[in-house]
Amino acid sequence: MKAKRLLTSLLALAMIAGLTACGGEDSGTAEQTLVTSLAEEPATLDPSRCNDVVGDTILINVMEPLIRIQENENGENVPTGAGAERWESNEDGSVWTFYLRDNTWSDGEPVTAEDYVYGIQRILDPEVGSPISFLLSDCIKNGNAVNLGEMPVSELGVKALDEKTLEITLEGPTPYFLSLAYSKAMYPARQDIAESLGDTYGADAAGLVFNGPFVVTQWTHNSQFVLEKNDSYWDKDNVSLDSITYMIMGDENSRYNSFENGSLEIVTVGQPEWIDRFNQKDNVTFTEYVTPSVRFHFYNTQDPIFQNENIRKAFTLALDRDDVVETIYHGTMLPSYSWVPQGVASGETISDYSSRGTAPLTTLIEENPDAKALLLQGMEELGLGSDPSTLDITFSFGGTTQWLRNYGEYLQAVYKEALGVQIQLEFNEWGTFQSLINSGDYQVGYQVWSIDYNDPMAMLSLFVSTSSAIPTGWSNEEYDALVAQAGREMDDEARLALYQQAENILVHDAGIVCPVVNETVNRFHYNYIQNLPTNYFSSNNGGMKYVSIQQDS
Amino acid sequence: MLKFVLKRVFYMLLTLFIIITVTFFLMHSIPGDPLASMARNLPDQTRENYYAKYGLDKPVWEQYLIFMKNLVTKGDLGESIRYPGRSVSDTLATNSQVSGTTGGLALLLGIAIGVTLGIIAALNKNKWPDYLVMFIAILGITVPVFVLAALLQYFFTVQFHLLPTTGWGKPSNLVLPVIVLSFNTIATYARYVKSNMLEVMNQDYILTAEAKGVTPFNVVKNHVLRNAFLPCITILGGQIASVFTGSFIVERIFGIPGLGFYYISSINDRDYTMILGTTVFFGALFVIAQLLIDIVYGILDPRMRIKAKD
Repeated sequence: MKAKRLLTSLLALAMIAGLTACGGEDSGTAEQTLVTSLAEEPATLDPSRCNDVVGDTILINVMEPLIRIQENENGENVPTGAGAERWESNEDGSVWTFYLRDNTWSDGEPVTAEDYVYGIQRILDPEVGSPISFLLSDCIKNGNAVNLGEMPVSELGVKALDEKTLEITLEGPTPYFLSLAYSKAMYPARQDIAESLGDTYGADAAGLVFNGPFVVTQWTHNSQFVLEKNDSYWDKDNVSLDSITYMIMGDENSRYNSFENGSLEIVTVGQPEWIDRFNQKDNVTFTEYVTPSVRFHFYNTQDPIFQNENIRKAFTLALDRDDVVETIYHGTMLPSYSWVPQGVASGETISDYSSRGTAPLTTLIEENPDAKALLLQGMEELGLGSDPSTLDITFSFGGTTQWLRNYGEYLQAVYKEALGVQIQLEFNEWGTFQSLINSGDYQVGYQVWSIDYNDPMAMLSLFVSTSSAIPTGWSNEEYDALVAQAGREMDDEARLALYQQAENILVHDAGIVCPVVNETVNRFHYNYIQNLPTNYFSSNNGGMKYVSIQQDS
Repeated sequence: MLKFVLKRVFYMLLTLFIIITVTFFLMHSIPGDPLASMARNLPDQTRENYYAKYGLDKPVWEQYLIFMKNLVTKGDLGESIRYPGRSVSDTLATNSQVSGTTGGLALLLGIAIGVTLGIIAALNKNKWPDYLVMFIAILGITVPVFVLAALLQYFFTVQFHLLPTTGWGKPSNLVLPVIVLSFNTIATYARYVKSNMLEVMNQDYILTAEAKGVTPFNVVKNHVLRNAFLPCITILGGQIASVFTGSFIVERIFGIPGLGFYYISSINDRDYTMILGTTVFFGALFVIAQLLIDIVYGILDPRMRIKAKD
């Protein structure tokens, strides 16, 4: 048996060695290779057309944004120079200048300010049709006009002053602009490459050039990515890993099995039984951190029943969030009492917005101990009588998975018990669900929203009258004004107050949205892997740059 | 024979035409938007730009004419909407090879084992080997592939560390998916061969052969098997097509970059070009396989040729 074990581990070693094209020459040090996974295939590696988390995961490792979020010596996650050595803004924060450091593309060409200009132009160029243009269109000067095709891209407020100086002019003071500079919206792009590849730019690894810590050397669609260290990267001395393999594994159990037998070295786990199991495993470390994603219910304010705010609030209050976390998520998520999720920074001085003040839903719960009373009051206001069981309510879901069905049944039970309402459930594929809610053909629905950039604005701007992101049919002038004012307020504390007022209107006063839980990442990794990021924005931003394999493991 | 083939080719094209047309209009009639899976916050202008780029802003019948024109004149299936820049034809070509490798091996293995088991069962009718084979066959048909795949994966890769859990590119990656995929084929062929053999064994000409003193081995080899195999060719037709289109579940569990994934995902994503591409591909394979089977049948079975002439 022992001989067999030895043989299989030798085979495994040989297989891992086979995965790395280079390295491993000197036998004294641990091999700097890592095998991890992606849950699905990215749509593209063209940053301007990529809008999935898996694509971001690859891009942050192979592209160099102007800024990365990194931990400083106090353990705080702060913006740190990456593609830009330093940056400054004018007095009111409407013009930003980035001074680029010397960096080289993987084909030997220098990285210039023009490349960053072109990257931003692509995001807003209507010809490209970028799904993330909304991130920049409102803030960069002439962004909307260019995106609508009313002005040429050359009119954008983005200029290369010289080879190494990038100047970005905004529509007005934008306090959260810096958080966009480390989002996916501001990667550089090479015009010559993008134009020569045309529509196929980003569809395959072949022909692409990179300027980040790693380069993509292999992309087998639906199978795996192989990343190798980029020798022309400016900070290559601080990059330890020689290669990273991302196996594309759609099946959850396959990922767990692979981690269990060591062929996968990092895994995120959503099921409590696997968390228990891996917790008993030797040589692995568990990390839990919050991700700024909120799972929520939203109401159609144009619906004959949910037009009433007391009814909306009654449905929001009927849920016991601690019970949801326990029953549905087995303790793997956090209860959520505000629309802006935990772990979101605001400016450079406020590292977690949610830690300030009282969450709007907490106040609402204290003020209204009896959800059913609110429902009856609302029904009376609408002239619907006093029998909640007569209400005809359908809850819509954008998916047909077993998990969603279980969740739906849980909600049925909860609303039945707390409010006496018997709700119907409707499950549709995501595309159909989107069409239905966009045309206002729903009453109440369930969704997940992951924040797009590190500022409460990314969440609060979704509910202004001009946004169609979450089609509740709600518009409120005071809310719009507060969000607009916050978008120009450069003082962090003053802006925080405005955000809180706006969020209070949304969740507490009007009850438009019902936050349920905050997502968390439950991650296991083998102990020999060091320096894995433990913050959502830095994991999205640091990526694998500083990760290393412990020597003599 | 030539007339027979030509007639069949005509029917084949007609079938394909109907498949494409029905798929095209059905797919456009289901609610949903190919951009919904990409972005939730698109400005109307961007959406319009995108639609214009893929010709989705035109009336459906005009899109249909454009698609048919490109398909017939250039053999062009267009570009995926979900995966910008990827040609549908290239995706079909690359991924069907992967599915074809696993599926083909599984089919060969399945037929080899299935036929053997079927013969054993037929020759030992109502004895324990027969019961055992039929038990295996029922198991193979009733146990869902995802259960079998999960079990095999767990035992071979986690408990005994004998094989890689997932992945593609090494021969060892093929072992588990091929076994899983062959299970159903084994079961199907074991049952089919057994019942066909029993039927043939009751025929008068077998009795004649036995009466003439042909050894039992030669009776089975020359008379029973030859005749029992003919009907098996019929079920082969449908299976050849699915060999290249792969299995969504098995490919997902074992991380195989095959074509099965696209059959499910393209519909969920409303990736119109990919839906049509995969449908045309499966449709074409299926009717071509049927045609080949018919021709092979004509060659193997003289009775069919006579019928075709009538």
